[in-house]
Amino acid sequence: MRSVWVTRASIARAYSTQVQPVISSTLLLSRNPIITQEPSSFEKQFYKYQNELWRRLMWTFPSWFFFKPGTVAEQKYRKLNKPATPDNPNIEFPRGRPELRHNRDRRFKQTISVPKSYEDKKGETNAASETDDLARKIVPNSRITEADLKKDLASLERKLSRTLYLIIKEKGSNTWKFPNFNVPTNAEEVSGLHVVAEEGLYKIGGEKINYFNVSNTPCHVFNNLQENKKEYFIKSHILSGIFEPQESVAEFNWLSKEELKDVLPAEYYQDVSHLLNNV
Amino acid sequence: MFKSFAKPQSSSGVLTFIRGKRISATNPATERIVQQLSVLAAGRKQPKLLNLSNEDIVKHRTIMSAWKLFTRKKKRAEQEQLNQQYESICNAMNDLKETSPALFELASHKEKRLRFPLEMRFPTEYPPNRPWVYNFTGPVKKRK
Amino acid sequence: MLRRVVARGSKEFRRSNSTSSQKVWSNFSKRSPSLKLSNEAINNNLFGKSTDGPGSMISHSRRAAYHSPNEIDSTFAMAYEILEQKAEDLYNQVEKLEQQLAQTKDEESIKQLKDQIDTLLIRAEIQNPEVMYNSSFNDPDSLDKTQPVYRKALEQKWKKYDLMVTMQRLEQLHVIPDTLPTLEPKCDVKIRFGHNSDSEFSHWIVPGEMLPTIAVSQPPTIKIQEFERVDGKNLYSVLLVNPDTPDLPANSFSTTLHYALANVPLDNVDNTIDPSKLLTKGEEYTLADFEPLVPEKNTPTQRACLWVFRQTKPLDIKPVARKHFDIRTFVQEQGLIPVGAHVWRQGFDRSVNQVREMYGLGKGRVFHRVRGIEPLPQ
Repeated sequence: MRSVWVTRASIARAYSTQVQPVISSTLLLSRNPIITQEPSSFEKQFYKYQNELWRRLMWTFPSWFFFKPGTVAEQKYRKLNKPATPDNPNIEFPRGRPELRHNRDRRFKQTISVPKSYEDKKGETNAASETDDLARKIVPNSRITEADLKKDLASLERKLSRTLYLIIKEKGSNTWKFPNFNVPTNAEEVSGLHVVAEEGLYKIGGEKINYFNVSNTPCHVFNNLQENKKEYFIKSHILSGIFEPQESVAEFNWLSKEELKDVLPAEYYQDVSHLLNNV
Repeated sequence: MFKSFAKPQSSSGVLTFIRGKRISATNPATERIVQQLSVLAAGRKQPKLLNLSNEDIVKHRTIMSAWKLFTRKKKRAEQEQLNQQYESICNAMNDLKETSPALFELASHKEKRLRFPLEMRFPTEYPPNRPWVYNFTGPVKKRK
Repeated sequence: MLRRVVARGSKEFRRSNSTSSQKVWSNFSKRSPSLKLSNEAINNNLFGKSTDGPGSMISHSRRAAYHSPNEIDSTFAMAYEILEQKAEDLYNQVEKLEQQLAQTKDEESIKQLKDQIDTLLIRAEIQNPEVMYNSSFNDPDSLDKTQPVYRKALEQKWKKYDLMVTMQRLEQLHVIPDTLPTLEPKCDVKIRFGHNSDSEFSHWIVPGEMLPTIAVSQPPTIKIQEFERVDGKNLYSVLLVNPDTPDLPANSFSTTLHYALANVPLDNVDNTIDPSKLLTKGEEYTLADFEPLVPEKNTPTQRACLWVFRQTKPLDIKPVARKHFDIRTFVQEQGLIPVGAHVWRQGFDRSVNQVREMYGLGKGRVFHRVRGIEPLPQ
């Protein structure tokens, strides 16, 4: 690794121009995924296949233990799970003789339906009972949120399965970029890049942001030759709260890696693409 | 369990046999244990062994090798990105050392006892009722 | 049961036979037809073209009663596409290397390029379900040994069992230090005595087996299967020695040569030395004619050690002395590289005298245990 450090240093030296470049820190503020990644079609199919194998090799469900014989629950259970065709030596079974053990055909997986714990109330919706009733039907929340449907790019609730990054458009400017803050040169006490980034974020986005900085170390440097600027990237996460744009910010968006590709200048994106999460 | 015969039930000294009634060889407590063990035991609960035809063996092997290829590709891409990120950090730090040694000092300072905040959560299969918490009032304390 | 039938009918996967959109594994314009799964019924089941059960099961009732795991067909279709895509990339690499090969003149780099192509071809085909089926369930003799992937599959199979048995027998019977110092096995050597009508002795001999003399009275058929690519033909020699001949003057045992062949040209496909070959060209190959081991009465079990060598140069065909044959010096002088070996054992039995007569070896000796005159030390 030492050789890498050395060569990198020499390259960096070659970049520096006569006029001292402005040092700035760029904030790579990300919202981590809230729900799991969407599996690819092959992954889905593979898991389905493995699940089938697993169910095929599972032991028989000991229903006599969970539904005590002679109870109402057992009656309900028996109603739902009809007994399989038993073997009969006098009958021809072209697709193989059934091998029943504990009312399960050993050759196949066992499918069990369990009596519902809730009552199906058709038409009538009682909001209070639906949230409080312990025996209510469990319906998971949708993976697609309202913000996704509205295509609200500024919402933090969009694309829950992806990492989103904050980009802003400053007033008077026409290009999207990651928030960038110059390091003050005339201050008495030098403050680190990460501090500059954090303070800058509060300045442009208000104080209501729960912010977590991963490390003081910059993760990337971008030489902005047009503005004679060195942009050091600081990675951090937003955990809760809201980004409220202040005066200097015209627009802001929360975008995933693919969307950033379309929005950011091509050369700039090429330079930072490896910092962005694919998930 | 090992008592082979049970005494017929007697009430008031007179033996009464009931036709068709099974005489349990065990007392209720033992029966309970037997039933509980039957849940854990394999007896009569195991499915038939998977005896695949030659074609299905080949199909299964193909599926597994495709899965291996798929995961390997994914892992490799991830590792590649990590390597790029590491190199990028080295590059940035070397550059910073040249341009501003003071900032370099601050950047390479490791904060002790830095922990992942409790608000950070693992991704779940389905989102919570409130996907995002908006009512954060403001930073409690500013980090140095 | 009904559900299963429906599931079988609704297989989405059909391998197209149209020539326009042919992918690598279904395109046989460049690839050898031996990479195809020739059995139609099995092929149809594999690619979901038929609904009447696995073709590898002959019995109709068994086939009807068979239930394959759920979801296996649709998963297999997706897996096939993924693997075929990888094979396509590998074949593109092969094409580039072949263009490079056409321009190369240097022999060393030609060999290197060919090796590279072979490894790529193996990687491209080893996961092909048709090839996998052929190499795991078809008769190994029927496989096309010009294809590197089949040679690789055969080699893996050999290393898993046959090689281990051979090496164990060679070492336990002390063939290895007694005849040649060591062996780096490179090819599979199998022998059988084709003249035996008795089914007990007509099969391929397992190394270390005890055989009656009558069963080994004719020269064996030797199969030398090379797993590396052979360009043109390699020259091979075969020596059969018996390191257990009684040597009374030295009060020890000596090595006798029983059979010697040299300059036999073989390659991956033409890999057997059989009687038909010996009848036509036997004169050119034979250094010493076959003479079976005839153990005399009361001698210990004798080992017939058969060594196969790759030659670095053609040998002169001139007679070799059989008695007190020094195999180590012979091998060193002629520059032979041992690549495989085989061993069987023989003892005195009732057929020995008949075989002796057959070969005109005269009457054998009978050994007795001789007691010393001096009394045993107290």
